[in-house]
Amino acid sequence: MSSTEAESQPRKPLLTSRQLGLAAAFAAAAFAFRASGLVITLAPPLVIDLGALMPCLAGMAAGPIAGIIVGIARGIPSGLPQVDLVLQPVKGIYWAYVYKYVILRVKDPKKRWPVFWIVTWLLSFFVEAPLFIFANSLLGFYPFYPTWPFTLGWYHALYGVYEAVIFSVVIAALPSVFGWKEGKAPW
Amino acid sequence: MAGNSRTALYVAVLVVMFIIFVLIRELWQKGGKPLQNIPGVDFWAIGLLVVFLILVWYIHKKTTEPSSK
Repeated sequence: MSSTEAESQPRKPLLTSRQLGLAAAFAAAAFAFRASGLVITLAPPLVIDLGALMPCLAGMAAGPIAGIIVGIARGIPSGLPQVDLVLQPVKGIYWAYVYKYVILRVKDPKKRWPVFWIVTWLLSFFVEAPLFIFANSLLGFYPFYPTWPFTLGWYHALYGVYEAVIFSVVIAALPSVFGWKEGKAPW
Repeated sequence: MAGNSRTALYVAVLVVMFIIFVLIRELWQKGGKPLQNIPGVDFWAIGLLVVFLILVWYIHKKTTEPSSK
């Protein structure tokens, strides 16, 4: 492409109005769940905060920058903002790329669902859990090992299953938002 | 131009939202989970999820449908 052709093409915005709109909606959800404390019981006394899933969903639906915005919104009301303001946006970033470049590369939707469930569980147990447990260990709550993968392993194993179920329900309810039917990330 | 003004509007909404979030944290919530122990908390959480999913779907629809002009 010549420089003249490149100059004549309109510059792609950093975020489209769709991405900004979805970032705002997911950010409001992420904040509302955590700030209110409305949670789903996982295995008493442990609970699942749906707000923590919003950066991942925003990343899938609207890309990594939307994931970062939503992650920050989830971090603001956190009890440990020094951990969540850093790691929640990180979740939004890696989920965006894994969804676009791994999950949606599977073109057959029948095969894509099990791949999605397995990837969700693996990311939850082998990426998200160690990241947060490591950060909490730096704050002196517990040692990194054996908290991960043993002491809190059962909780994160269960959490990964719940995460896969909730993601699946949301994507199945709104396939066009996530480009699921088209097999192409909408960002 | 219409697209630019809409983008500017969304950016402004995001900035205002974040200011409100910080105020809510500082003035009320303070990092806690004030409604965690209300009766039927699971159902309230699912209800809130449904509300936000409708909002997500509406924004997606409004920002992807072809302009009528």
